[in-house]
Amino acid sequence: MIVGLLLAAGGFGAGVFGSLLGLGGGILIVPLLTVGFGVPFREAVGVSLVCVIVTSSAAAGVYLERHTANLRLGMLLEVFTASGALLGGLVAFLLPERVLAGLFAALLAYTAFSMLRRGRAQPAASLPAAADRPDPARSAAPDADPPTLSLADAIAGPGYRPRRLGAGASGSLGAGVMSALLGVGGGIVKVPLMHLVMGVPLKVATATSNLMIGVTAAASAIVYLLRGGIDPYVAGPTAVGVFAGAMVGSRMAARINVRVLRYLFVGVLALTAAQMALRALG
Amino acid sequence: MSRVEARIARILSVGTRVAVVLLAIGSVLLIAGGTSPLAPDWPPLDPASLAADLAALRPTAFLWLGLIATIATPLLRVAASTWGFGRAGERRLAALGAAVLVVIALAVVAGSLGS
Repeated sequence: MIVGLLLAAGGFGAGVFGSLLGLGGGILIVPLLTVGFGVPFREAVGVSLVCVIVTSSAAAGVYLERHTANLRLGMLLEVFTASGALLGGLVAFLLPERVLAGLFAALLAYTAFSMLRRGRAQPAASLPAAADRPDPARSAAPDADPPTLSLADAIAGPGYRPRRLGAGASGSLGAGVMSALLGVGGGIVKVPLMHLVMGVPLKVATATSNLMIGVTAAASAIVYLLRGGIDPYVAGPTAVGVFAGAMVGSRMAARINVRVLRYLFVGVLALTAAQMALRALG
Repeated sequence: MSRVEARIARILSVGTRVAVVLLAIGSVLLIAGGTSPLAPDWPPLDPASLAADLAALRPTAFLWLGLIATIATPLLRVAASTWGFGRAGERRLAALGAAVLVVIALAVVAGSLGS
């Protein structure tokens, strides 16, 4: 009984922290389950994928209602993230767990470094200037035949037109592989990819990344589920905890000094990265 | 496409709630029944016994259904987007949605072959 409650509480904490810091739960859930509860790495990844889908679906609905996420851009990149996730889901069952733990340690270290750097950066400076240009994909009259647009025009949003679609596609493929191997949403790759490489505004990139996470994680979660890689007993309490934590975290965000929390969290990530690295080294 | 986006937002919202409620019921039944979630052998997914397990209020049925609902929710979103774009005559975007559904179908085949 106690273990079930601890799993839910751990998931709740991961949901609160993830929501406050703008991270998907996966980066927290895998270490929580492996280091905290002794769950085998591959099973922890399977459970984490479920938690990531829950939080993504809950947030994506809100982003769509607010018209923050670009559904068209998301649908284009999802073809590649889902393909990568399918590939990663298959590879995950071939790789030794020590290799996966080593990759996760590297991801944790990179995330800690990125958060530290983001904490020092000026947030407004990262937004690209929006062009004063109508949204070609949405400017046609509702009853008119859709005009023939280039793909970039078809997925454009108000004030921006995504560029370097090829780079976006290959980066998305890599993000999908990473998501499936390590049980994370892959936002740490997709958001900079869309924002810095494709020229999508940061707010839209974040929301669209979140929208894509559910489908990406679902592609690999199916492989995990059918191959017996998702433990329902661990997944249930953890996912419910993560969902509740994410709801609470989103309401706390305005009242918390996230800057202090960020530095504290960098320390936790660095420590966890060291533990994962030790695990990888046996 | 705003009507499609509103419909998709509703699918995501309702799907997530259904999934979380099922997982919550399963977790409460599991914890109340005294089964350790860290038990090494968990019951495998058996679609044939889901209805009977559900009627008997077994936690496994609720947990598996919750997991299936979780995974199905974003896939329903893709299906609804594909249908919406197709109806709006945006064939390229509908084709992208269909391509994602093909990848999902391949995932089902690949997962089944290795199970």
